[in-house]
Order: sequence, then C-alpha cells, then structure tokens
Amino acid sequence: MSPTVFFVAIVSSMLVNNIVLLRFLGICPFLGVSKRSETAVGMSAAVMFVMVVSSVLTYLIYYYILEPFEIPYISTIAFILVIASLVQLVEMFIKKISKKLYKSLGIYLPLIVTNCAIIGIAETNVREGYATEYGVLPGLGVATVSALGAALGFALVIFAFSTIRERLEAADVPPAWKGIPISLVIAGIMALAFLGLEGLV
Amino acid sequence: MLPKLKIALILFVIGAVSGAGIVGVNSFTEDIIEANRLREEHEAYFDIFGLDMPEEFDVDEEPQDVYCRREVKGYDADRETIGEIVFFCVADEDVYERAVAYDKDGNRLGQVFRVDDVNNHGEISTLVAFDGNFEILDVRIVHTTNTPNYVQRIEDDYLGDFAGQDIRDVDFYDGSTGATITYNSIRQAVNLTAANAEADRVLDAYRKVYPEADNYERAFDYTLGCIRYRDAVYDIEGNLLGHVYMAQYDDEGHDPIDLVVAVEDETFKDVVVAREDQASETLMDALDKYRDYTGEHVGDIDIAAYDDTVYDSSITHLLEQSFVRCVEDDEQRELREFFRWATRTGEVETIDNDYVESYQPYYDEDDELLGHVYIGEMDTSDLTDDYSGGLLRIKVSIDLDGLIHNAVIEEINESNFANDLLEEEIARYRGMEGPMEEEDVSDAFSSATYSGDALNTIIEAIYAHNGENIEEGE
Amino acid sequence: MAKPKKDPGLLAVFTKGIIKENPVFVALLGLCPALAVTSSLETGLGMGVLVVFVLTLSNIVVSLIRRLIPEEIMIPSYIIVIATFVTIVEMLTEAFAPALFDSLGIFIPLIVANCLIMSRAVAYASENNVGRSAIDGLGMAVGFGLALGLIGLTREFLATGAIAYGVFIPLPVEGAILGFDIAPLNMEVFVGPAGGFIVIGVWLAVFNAIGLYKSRKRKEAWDRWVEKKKREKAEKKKQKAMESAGGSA
Repeated sequence: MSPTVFFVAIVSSMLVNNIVLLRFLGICPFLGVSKRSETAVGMSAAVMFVMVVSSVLTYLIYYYILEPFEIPYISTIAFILVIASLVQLVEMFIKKISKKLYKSLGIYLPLIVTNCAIIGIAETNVREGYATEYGVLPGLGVATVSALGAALGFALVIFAFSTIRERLEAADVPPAWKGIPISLVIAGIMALAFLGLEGLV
Repeated sequence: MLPKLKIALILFVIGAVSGAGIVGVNSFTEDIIEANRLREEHEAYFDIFGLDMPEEFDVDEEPQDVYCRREVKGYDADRETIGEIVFFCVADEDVYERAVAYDKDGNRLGQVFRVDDVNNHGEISTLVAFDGNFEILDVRIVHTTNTPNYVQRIEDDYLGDFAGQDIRDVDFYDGSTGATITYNSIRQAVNLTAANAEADRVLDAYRKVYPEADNYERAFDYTLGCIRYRDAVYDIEGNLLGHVYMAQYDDEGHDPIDLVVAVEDETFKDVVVAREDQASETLMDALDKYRDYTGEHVGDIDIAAYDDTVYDSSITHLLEQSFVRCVEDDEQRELREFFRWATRTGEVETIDNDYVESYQPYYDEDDELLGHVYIGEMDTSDLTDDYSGGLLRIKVSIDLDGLIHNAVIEEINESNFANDLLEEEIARYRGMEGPMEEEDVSDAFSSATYSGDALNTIIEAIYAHNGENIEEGE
Repeated sequence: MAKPKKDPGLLAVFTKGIIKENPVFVALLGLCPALAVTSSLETGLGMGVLVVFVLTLSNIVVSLIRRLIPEEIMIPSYIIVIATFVTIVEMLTEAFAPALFDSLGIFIPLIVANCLIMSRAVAYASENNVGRSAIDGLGMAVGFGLALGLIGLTREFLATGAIAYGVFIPLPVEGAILGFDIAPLNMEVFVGPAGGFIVIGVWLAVFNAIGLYKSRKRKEAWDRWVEKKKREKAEKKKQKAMESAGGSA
C-alpha cells in the first residue's frame, strides 16, 4: 500500500466529499454553533477528537466482533452506544484532568451524540470497504485518516461559515431572511464552490 | 449496591428484548433481501439483451461443477420461458463472472462479463455486454458505493458512448470526465472483458470441431513456425475432448488465415477456419477436400495430392506441419509431462540414497537445463509392523528454482481407496515450492496415513538432494 | 418543551407537529436528512414514512417503560429503544422497498442520530401516557415527512420539470406527472447539494414571511382591539362624566 492512498483518502474526505456541504452530515452543529468563530473552533476540536477515536473503535468492533459473529446488522445499535459511551467517558476524563479544557471543549461534547457526522463516518468507514481492499488492519489506517480528513473538512467549512455569519450580523437583511434562511442560502453557495473540487482525486 | 444492580438488570433486559426483536426481524427479512438481490442482479441481464422482464426466476446451480455453472431461466406470468442466462466462472481472477444469454428459442444473444472493482470511492460492479460480432451492446453499473453524483455523471454522459463499438478496439474518452476514479474502473472492466472475450473467440473456433467445447488449455506454445499452439479442449464437465492445432497461414499478399486442425490419437479428425470473416468460398471448398481423410492415420495421408487452388499448397503445408507436430508430440508427450518445454533428456544418474533412486536432467530445445526428474521410493511396510503396505514409487520434476512441476505415482501397493487418496495427495505437490510444511500434510484420512507420510518423506529427500544439484549447477 | 398547562385535545396534539411546531421549518430539527434525501418527492416522503414508524413506535415504547427507567440510564435506554426500531425499519425497507433503501443509503441508520426522535422521547413520551405519546410521535413524524416531501417536490420539479412516482416507493404504477421540458434551463443544480441548502433556505424565508405577516396582522388586530377598548373606555368615562354632570346639574 503506497502512501498516496492516505493522501488521496484525506483530500477526498476533506474536500471532494466534504462531510457538511456535499454529504449533509453534521448540519445541526453547522448551523447551531457557527454564529461566532470562537465556538466554531471549539466545536471543531471536539468533533475532530471524538470522530477519530470513535472511528477506530467502531471499525475494530465491526471487524473483530460483529463480522466474526455474523451480526453486522446490529452495527447501528453498537455504533451509537459506543459513541454515546465514548462521549460520556471523554467528558468525565476532561473534567478530571483540566478545568480549562473542560470549559472550552466540554460544553460541546453532549451535543456530539446527536451529531450524525460521527456515526455517519463510522458507518461510511465500514461501507467503503477499506478492509476488503487493503486488509483489515491497513484498512483501519485508511479509515482513520479518512475520519481525520472528514473532521478537518468539517472544521474548515464551519470556521469559514462562522466568519461569514459574523459579517452578516451587520448586514441589512430583509426580516424574513434573517438568521437561518440566509445562512442556508450562503451554505448553498459554498456547496456550489466545493462542487468545483469534484474529480480532484 | 442494590440500585446499581437494578440499573444493570434493567439495561440488560432492554438489551435482550431489543436483541431478540432484531434477530427475529432479521431472520424474517434475510431471505427476502437475498431474493431481492438475486432478482435485481438478474433483471439487468434480461434488460441488456432486450428481453422482457421475467415475472419469475428459476436458478439452477450445479455446486460441484468446476466452472461453477449457474443457469437462470426467466419466465413470464404464464410460466412461458422468456430467456436463459448461463453464468460461468472465469479463470481470470479479476473478472467476477461471465454469462451467456439465450432467447426463448435457445438462440445465443451474446455475452456479459461482470467485473467487480474496489476503487478509492468504494465498490463498483460493472456489466459489459457484447453480441456475437463483438459489438458492445451495453455497459452498465449494477452496484456501487461510489459517490452518487459521480456515478450519475458517468451514467449520463459516458456509458452511452460504448454501445456499438467493437469490444476489441474500444475508443475510451480520454479527457477529464470529472469522475476519473469511477471512469477508470469502467475502463478497466471494458478492457478485462475485451481480453477475455478474445479468449472466447478461440473457444468459438474450437466449437466448430467440438460443439460441446467449453474450455481449453494451452498444452503447447510452439512460438516458431506456422503451427502456433496445441490446445487441449474440454467440455463443460471438464472431460478432455481432444487436442487441436492452431495453424496460421501467413503468406505475403494475403490476410493471415487461422485454421483449426483437430488430430486425435494420430488420426485426422477435421480442419476448419477459425474466424468467420476469413471463411471465403474458395477456402471452404479447398478444406472440404481434406475432410475425405477424416478418420485416417496421419502417417497414411498423402496430402500433397491436391494442388489446384491458390490455398492448396499452403493448406497442405499447414496440415503436414500439424501431423508432424502430432507425431512428435506423442513422442515428447511424456517428456513434457514433467517439463512443459522439454525436448530432450540427459543421462540417468543412479544415486545411493535411502529414498532417492535416480535423477535425470531435462533440457529444452536450446539445450538449456530445465531441471531434474527424480525417481524416489520407499517401502511402507517397513514403517510399522501392523501395516501391510508395500513399495511406493514416485516420479517428481523439480526445476532449478526448486519449483515442483509435476509429481506422479509410478508404483503403489495399497487398497484402491488409499490409491485414490494418494493420487489426490500427490496432486497437491504440483506447483509447490519444496516439501510441504508439516501442518500442510494431510492427516485427514486414516487408511493412507502411512503412505501419505512416506510420500512426504520421499519428496523431502528428493528436495534435499535437488538442493545439492542446484548448488552444483551454479 | 414544557408540560402543557391544560390538556389539549388529541387532535391538537396531532396537528401541532404538522404546523405550529413543524420539526423542520419551525424547530430546525433533522436538517441532515431534510437536505440529503430530498432530491425527489418520493425519497423525501419515503424517509418521512420511515420516521413515522420509528418515532411513533419509539414514543409508544418509551412511554410504556417510562416509570421503570431510573433517571441515570434514561438516555442510554432510549438510545437502545430508538436504535432497535431504526434497525428493524432498515431491514424491512431493504426487504420490501429495495430501491428506496438504496437511495436513502446511509441516512436510514442515521435516523438514530436524528435529534427529533430523541427530543420527542425525552420531552414528551417520558412524561405522557401511551395514547398521547403515540399521537404526538405520529403528528411530529407526519410534519417531518410533509416538510421533506415539500422540499423534495420543489427540488425535483425545479431540476427535472416533472414529478416521478413509483420509482423508489413500491407503488403498483410507475410514471411521472407534470413533465415540462425544462432541460434548456439546466437547473440540475437543484438536485445537487447546493440546491438542497438553497431550497430549504427559501422555504424557511417564505414561512418566516408568512409568520411575520400573520403576526403583523395579529398585532394590527390587537392594536385595533386595544384602540377600540380605549375608545369605549373613554366614551364610557365621558358618558359617566356627562351623567354625573347631568345628575349633579
């Protein structure tokens, strides 16, 4: 397996198949915490951490427990439970080790359980068939890198979007369009821009 | 403590009920999902060939068949046959399977190759269909996890370009398709189909001599001369039908003409034109005359008798060459059993070794040493008192890289049952490098265990000796 | 959502999910599927049907077991209940509507992460009886489905000029209605990702505008009513004053 595989995986999941704008995962936090760039950065960090760790865990569970026992059809339940417990654990852990980190990251963690981007990436990793192409363990590498790329793509888009929205506060928007409607149209225009990256890899 | 137990219990009960529910629904839907999948998969095949969409399918699988033949018949609402698709495995591992389509009267409509690929966007399965003239009928994606937008783009803008082209010479779109990875998988599918379709063209030629022909194996590649290959032709069950010689008449000023000459046991069987587009009337007339010799021994045929058409002298030459090859082949057949390219053998060297009796070097036509053929033996009754075996004698060919080309049993004194098992056992050595690891040696059968051990011991001894030979050779 | 002060009728419980508290257009819940599976009317409605099943059933079960579950494990228990129904619905869809299953793809298992379902379980079903919870779930899910249908209808029509039926949802007939030739306009972007955002944005603005118009009207009506009352009061005062003046006179 050549290193280009990882490069392609990261570019593909970060830009070409951007998780928010082209795959519609994680729209709730995308709209919910993008009013200010500070909160956007905090949320991105939390998402990145949970996404990468949960990807590794769900991947291992899928290929070392669900597949051998021939019960891949319960993957949805298994994944959501893993993610929910993981988020709980991380929250308790962060609370213990650093009050400061907890203040900046902790408040986003409970929101993450209902962030479909996390379970969406977990499901995508097993659906993309990395394990069939590269073998189970090398496939884990590709899956992890893709998850990282997806999280980076999330961070990139949500940060850019939050800066736009900060500017928008000062703009004179017709009352019916204020808030979410105009934001969605802007997201649409951003998605158009990302469509230009299609076929990059 | 107690409240914690209660919590655990409640969670457990919820989990158990949910698990039971899911397993129940799964056992109910599993078969339906599988049936759906089969239907979806087969409907595409009927659709490609313009057949009506069947209401009902009848899937007939022959599990033991080496070609994993699977017949799928489609019926309309009144149980009238609409058509039939017959699936086969393909030797080329990159091709998932090959299917031949027939209409309700049994006319052959064409073939479909299914190629499964895993690219950077996920899985993609492509069907490539072409008719008897190698004209592409359709290229379509039947299953994919690639990005839907890309797949849609490929389907809308590029797949249509394939229809009507010659599968052997396809014009691919070589600009940016905007979905390069997906398009590359399609390109690969078409190329693989073309490569395998060519093989099928050879088979089509052989079917003119042996209508049941379903597979062939290159028995010999002559590289030089007008006779190009000798192929062994098999039917669907893997039985050998006979050998054919592919002869090419390549005279300046003419297009090359491929002839298929069938000779069985040094008896002339038939000669036909390999490709329809070369079958001119004069040529067919010329060939017809040679069919009078059908059933005669090749040594008795005076093929120089005909010389009145433009083709005759060349056909005569080709047949002559085939017959010469045939006689030569029969002489060398035994040589080639051990080394495919062997043309002569060297002196037999007898050696004094417990299990290795002698060895003999084999050479190809350029006098290059190919490897050695060993004869090894062992008396299995010596192994233990309560076992009445006997002499086991085997012949093994090992090349200079240590690869076992062939291994056969020369003499054996066992029950018939053990004989069969040992035949199977020795077949496993062919194509192996060196003696088997202990865990690879079959211990599944009891009546031939001692012989199996003996077999491995002999081959090990031979292999050890071959190591010395190779060193000496270097 | 707080517990209703007085018991509204069952009909009101049902209809509030469709209009007043519409999950997509008012509460902005479940926007991921609202964007991802609404490239056609049928996929949008199909998703709606699946959510109807999951939300109604999960509300019923949550309401049934609400007194048994200690608070500490409320969320994990509800997650298991919801995920179970999602898995069951997923398997049934694959068996009986394979085309819909393929087109919804990953968004069927993702129903599990749809905030709408969890929020109804926590906010309503865990505090109300089975009948009300079922009606609430049904109403919310129907509102969700109708919203998705509306978005899907808009996008499909703008992009293709027609509305297909029987393609994804297994209906006995298959075909398309309307069917304007709008190919020259080249508006395929509306079935693409960008179109999803823009169409939802525009619909939200439309509903906002209607809302603003209504509240303005209501305000005007209120103002008029206040004005009227004031006038009446003033008149009464005047009359009283006159009466008292007349009486004293």
